[in-house]
Amino acid sequence: MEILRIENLCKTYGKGEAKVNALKNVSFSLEKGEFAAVVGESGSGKSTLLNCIGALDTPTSGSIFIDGQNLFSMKEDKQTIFRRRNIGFIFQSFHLVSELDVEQNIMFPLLLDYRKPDPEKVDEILNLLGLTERRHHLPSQLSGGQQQRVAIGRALITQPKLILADEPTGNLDSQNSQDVIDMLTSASRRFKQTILMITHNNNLTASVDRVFRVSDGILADLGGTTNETLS
Amino acid sequence: MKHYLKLVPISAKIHRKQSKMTRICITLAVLLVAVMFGLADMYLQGVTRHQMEESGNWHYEFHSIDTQTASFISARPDVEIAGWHNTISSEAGYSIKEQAISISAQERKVFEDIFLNGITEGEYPDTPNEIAVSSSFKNTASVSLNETIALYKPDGNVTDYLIVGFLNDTETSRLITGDTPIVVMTPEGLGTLAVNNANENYVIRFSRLCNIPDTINDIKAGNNLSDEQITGNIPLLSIQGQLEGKTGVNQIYQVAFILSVIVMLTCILMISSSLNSNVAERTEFFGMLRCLGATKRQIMRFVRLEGLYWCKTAIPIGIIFSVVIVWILSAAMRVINPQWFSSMPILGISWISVIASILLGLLTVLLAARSPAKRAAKVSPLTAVSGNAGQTASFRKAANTTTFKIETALGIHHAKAKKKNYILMIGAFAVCITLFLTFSTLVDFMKNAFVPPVYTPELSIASEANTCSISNELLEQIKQNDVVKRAYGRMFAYEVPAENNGKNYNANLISYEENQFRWAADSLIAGSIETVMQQENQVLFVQTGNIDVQVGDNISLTINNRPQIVTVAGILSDSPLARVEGTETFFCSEATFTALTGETGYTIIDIQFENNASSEDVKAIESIFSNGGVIFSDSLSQVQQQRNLYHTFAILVYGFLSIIVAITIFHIMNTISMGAAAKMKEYGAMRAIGMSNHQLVKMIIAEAGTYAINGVIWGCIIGLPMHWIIYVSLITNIWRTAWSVPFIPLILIIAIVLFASLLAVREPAKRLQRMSIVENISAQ
Repeated sequence: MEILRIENLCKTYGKGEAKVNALKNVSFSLEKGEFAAVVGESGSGKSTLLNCIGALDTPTSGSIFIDGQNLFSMKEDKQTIFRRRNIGFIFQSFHLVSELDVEQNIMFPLLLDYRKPDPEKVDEILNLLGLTERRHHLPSQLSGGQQQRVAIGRALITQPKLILADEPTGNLDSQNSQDVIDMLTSASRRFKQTILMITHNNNLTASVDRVFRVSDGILADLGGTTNETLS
Repeated sequence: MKHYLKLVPISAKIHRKQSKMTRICITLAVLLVAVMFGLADMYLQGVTRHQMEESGNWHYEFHSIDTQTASFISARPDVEIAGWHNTISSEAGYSIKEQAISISAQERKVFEDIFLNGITEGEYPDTPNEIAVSSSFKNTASVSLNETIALYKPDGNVTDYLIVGFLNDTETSRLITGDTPIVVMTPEGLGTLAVNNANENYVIRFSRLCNIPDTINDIKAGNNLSDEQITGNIPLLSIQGQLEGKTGVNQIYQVAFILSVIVMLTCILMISSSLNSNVAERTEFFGMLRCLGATKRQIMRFVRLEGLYWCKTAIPIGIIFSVVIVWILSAAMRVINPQWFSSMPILGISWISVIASILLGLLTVLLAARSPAKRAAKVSPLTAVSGNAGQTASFRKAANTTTFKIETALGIHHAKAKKKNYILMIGAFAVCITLFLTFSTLVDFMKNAFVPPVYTPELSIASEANTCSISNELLEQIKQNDVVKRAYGRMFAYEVPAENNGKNYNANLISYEENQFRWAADSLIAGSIETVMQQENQVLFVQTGNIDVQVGDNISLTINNRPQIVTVAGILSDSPLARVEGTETFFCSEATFTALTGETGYTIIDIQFENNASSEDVKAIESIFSNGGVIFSDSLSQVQQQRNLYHTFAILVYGFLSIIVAITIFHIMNTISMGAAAKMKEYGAMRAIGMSNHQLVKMIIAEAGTYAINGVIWGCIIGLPMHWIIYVSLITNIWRTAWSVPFIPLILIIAIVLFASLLAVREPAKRLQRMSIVENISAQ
């Protein structure tokens, strides 16, 4: 079942001589439960691609379909609601709400949607992430790795169609990085969660299903068997 | 770039947008201080000019001194102008063409520069045989220029003088008092008259920078002069601050200084918080400077210099605006109250206010920059390398998401999370409400002190014989006049024998009509005024404590030798009419009065005029009573003056209240806006996760609302008792008016505070909505 479909996506910044084509006719799709990684050099257009898919930025042309719905045919309010119900985000610098504790941070997208969180589901996620003991801790009382785990929990709680992770290990040491990747992999397997992750660390692509490379705004599908080549 | 501090202007140029709030704060501080000092200065300049026009521009006058002492005094370097001023009053018996005259003899410089007089035609007398005379004398005595006239002395001797000039009559009162024509001559000219009873004075004006009290003590001691030999132009010296002890100028500048300190303190808070947020936004920059080797002291110097750099534009702008505002206020005061403020300069520039505002402005900025400078110096060099500058401050407690919706809970938590900031914010609201309530008592004070009571007549027409002799047709005639706002009469029956409960006494029976009954309602302590107005033989009794009268008591009044029973329907605590001790007062309706006494005419008619009434209108009313038999009491100009004075002071008090409100609104808007700016990244992340714009606005409203509601509660807790204390000491103790909750000012200030808070949310919300989420997350 196709969760994400991107057709001829282009993003251009600036005008005239200062014009930069950040994305050039990018097209690909992801199936339900697929864990994909986008690799590329710094400035190659990876983050632009992720921002467009997450409706954080508007593409210059092209279409993005999530679960069959055209993301940019929606009005802003509807797009916001769609995003919070169907897309989960994991950022490099965590972006947790500093005045909410671990449990509240995980429940945050549900609270924004005025939905009552299922305590069992919350417990399950806390357990999965190894944060049960720390459920009432504030972000400032957590290590970087723990904060990123909370961010993963926050992305999982709404059981979104798609999770977008932007360099989720960028601020972590190698052990925590591996833990985060393992957690994402296990979430992908356990909840049949579609995940698109950006990374510039080729080693982290070992456990993903598919790898894309972005170079000068052009996306190339490296498939699922080229991990050895990359590493 | 030769010095690291040269980075300040470069950085200021780049961060121009971020420093906007700081520059506005400095401009506002300078503007307010300059306006207060400017107004005080304009007022003093006006009063000084007015005083000089009244009595002349001299400082001290010496009597009974010899010429040698006079020359010692004039030789002092601090004496600017000095000269003899000898006068002979009209009663001394000198005359020209059979008209009594006064004589004033002095040098030209004393005449022109000290007494500020001028010659309208011809020139000032130069030789002993020359004189100048009042312009009015030219017509009344038919004299002309270059005519020789005879001046008759009291002993009948005659001296001839040549008329060389005519004086401006309007200014001669400064030379000598009286309505008679004045002859002006030189002191030598007076010498030729061989007068032995002239009033001889030596007048002096000191230079501008002279310390007059010390100098006059020195003159007294050096020349053995007694206090009786010296007279000072006290009002002028007081205004110029040249008296020992409390002077007018000291008091006015004291008030301006105290108000400036209040404004300064508020502005220090504002500038400090805006600089703080500015510093917080550039933590990485300061960390980078520390990384590169800047010491803490250098960083502090950098931040302080940045503050001073912004003064470069903010102070001149504040001063320019203040000059314009002072011009407008001076013009308004001249128009509203010409009797008191006609001498205020129209387009005057107050250098005192300019200097004071520059100094206080710089001081404010330096004081305000202290804490941000320290904060910037504390930034660790690690901040720049670790990239942790964007981390928000840690919180001690998590937000309460069970009671409120998530956005409301976060808003409330944002407001309350940082205790110091929370206390400062609700403190700002509470101080504003307290100041507003406290100062609003001044309005009530002014009303009591300056505004005549509502029943005050501007013209009273009383029967000469104190009888009911003024026909009510005349009252109707008065009412026809368009400038008459209200006209009403009272009928009096004096010393009427009265009896109740077996006690006999005398009473005045007085009629009221509907206006007077309405005004009496404030002093009603029992019964009903309506009953007295509508039913016959009902009266109001004015309580005195001499006799015990209750509502419902029947009183027997003996009028025209006939006992008549009236019933007390109400009791008043007081009445505006004068009363004789031992005589009680009853008020009744005109119908009751006529029924009891048979009289239909009035003893007194009171008139209140419309605002535009003049003395001509009073004369027109008076002309109705051409047959006489009445006494007029005209207090129109006095009442109008009191009202004008009230309006002027009301403008100043309300102006000050507006300043307090303006500062608070600005502070609220500034803090909320800066708070939102500081949380930009966090808001960006929330938007990415799914917070809608509507929820974002609600969150900022909840934050502002938390400050406002708690501030209002604390404002009421502190402000109302303060209002009570000031009200009781200023008003209740003097006029016996009881305190009540000041609902109108309270509702007004609460509405302003809540509205300002709501308004404060608009700008940051719009700014956030304009930003894309990507911009929002990566915001610095």
